[in-house]
Amino acid sequence: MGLSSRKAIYIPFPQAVPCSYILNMDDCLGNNPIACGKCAEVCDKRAINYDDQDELVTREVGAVIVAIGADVYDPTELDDYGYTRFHNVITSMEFERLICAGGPTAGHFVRPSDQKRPRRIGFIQCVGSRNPKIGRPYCSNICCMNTVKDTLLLADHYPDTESVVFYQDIRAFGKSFEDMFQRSREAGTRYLRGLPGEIEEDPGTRNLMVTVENTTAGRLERHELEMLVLSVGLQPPRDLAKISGLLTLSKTADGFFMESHPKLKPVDAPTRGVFFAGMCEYPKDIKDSVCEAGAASSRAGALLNAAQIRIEAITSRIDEVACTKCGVCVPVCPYGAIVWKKGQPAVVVEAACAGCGTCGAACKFSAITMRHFTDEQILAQIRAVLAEEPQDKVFAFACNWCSYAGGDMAGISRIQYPASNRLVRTMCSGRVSEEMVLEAFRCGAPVVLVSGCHYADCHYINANRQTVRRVQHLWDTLERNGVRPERLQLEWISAAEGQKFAKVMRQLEELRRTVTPEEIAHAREALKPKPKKVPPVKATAVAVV
Amino acid sequence: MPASLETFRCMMCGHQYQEKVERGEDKERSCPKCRSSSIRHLKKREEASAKEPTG
Repeated sequence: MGLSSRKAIYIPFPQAVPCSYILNMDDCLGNNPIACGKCAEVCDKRAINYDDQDELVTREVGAVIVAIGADVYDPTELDDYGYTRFHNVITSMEFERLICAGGPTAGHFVRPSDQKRPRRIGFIQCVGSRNPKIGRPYCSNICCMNTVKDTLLLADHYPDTESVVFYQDIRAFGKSFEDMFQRSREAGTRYLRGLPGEIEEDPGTRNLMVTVENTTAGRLERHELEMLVLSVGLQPPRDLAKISGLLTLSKTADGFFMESHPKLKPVDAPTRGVFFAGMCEYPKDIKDSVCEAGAASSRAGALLNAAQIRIEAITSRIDEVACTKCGVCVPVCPYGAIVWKKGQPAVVVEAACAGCGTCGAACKFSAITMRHFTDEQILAQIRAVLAEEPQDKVFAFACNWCSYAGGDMAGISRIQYPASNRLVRTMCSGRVSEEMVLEAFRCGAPVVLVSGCHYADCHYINANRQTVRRVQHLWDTLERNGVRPERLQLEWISAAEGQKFAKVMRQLEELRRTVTPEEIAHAREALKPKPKKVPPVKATAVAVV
Repeated sequence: MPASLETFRCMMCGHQYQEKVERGEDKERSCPKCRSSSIRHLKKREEASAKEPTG
């Protein structure tokens, strides 16, 4: 942190595990030839090897636990609250070092500008957190309680210190956290609801003049403080993208790793055999990290000790002969389960395939068979459903996990909705190909619905994003062919949204009534598959002997 | 993060609106008027034709 200097050989911090020394070769006087060598002389265990080099170690493993942590937000870039301009504005991490007995000041809390003990200290919460403007709309979870702990430390070490905490909300949700917060208040810490709008430095005293709107009292306040502590949040670690690429892991909108299911599989990655522990999934405190680490190791142990691994039979298979080696299926697979090299047919790793069927919908050459949900099976269902009086039906594709279950929920909740709808179930809305939707229109469907899980609920990481792309393209195709694009609808309906399912069905029934027989007939004709151009066959000379 | 103002049309109620879109964003959209998820992202060409008077 630049608060003090350290030697070329050091223990990273007093509580480091393992508590062993690190030799920083950038600062070492030199090892070839050895210019100093004093550390090697005094090490009776002969643990120092100047010739040791970094090396790549290859291990074959059956499970991987990702526990790469998170980074602390750096207020330098945006100069939050004058952090780069004012000496006495420090971060909560720097506060920890200053008040730590093993820190650069041996635990004597002094301010950086004059090395004197500050008597009035302010804490500003949510620096780098809960701020959509800087792309960090999430709560970092730990900062509130860290500040509460810091105020208690100050009150304990220096009872005459005045502490003011500027906050939006104090989130003391854990066991005994509320009690700790109350103790901090009882110790004299003032909690002021409102974040400072302006900070100025007195050039003479180097004190900080903080202007803040007290939103509880509804008045503007000005505070003169000797030191300000920015309670900095957490952000995804720098190596996250690299690890994400190596293990085909997905990220949430916040930039942290996405779990397989937020409630049922909170430590599982969507990629089988990969588990999360700690902050790489989202910011959390030590207790939650320890719980997750235990859960992740248990999950990994169960996998490694299983005599056999059972997978669902619903997986994709690629026909090597029909495959045109285009590689279109590779980027759409959310699990990275398709292996392909240029010039070679793609291959599905069935142990990694989760069975969403997105690859099957993306393949234009029918080279991918989605077991139990083949193109032929789904097209046969479409034709059967629309074989009689298609003009009276609302045709819907529903994903297994959410929309279809949403329909069930509407049914068991006895919610009334028109009986005109006909559902065809697929495992994921990503399985619905453009050809399937067009076939429904060709069979005379007045209205077609494609429905799936909400973005956050997609059971196949992000396969439903492919649905959005296909439906967008289909709207263009329909319009180009003179078919009203509104006749194709897209809805996200979760398993709990029975009411929404019924509402959508009522809306689609209203829409169906507006579709004329002429429109249906036009769509049947306009969307007929165009005959494929057959390359002319070259005349070959036949020699007759 | 670079952002641009894009036009969307709800395919359920026909409501047309503009919204900032950040490059690479992964956001579920819904109609601000009727909450439908049938949101069509209008390209510039379609946007222009949608504004043209009809009849």
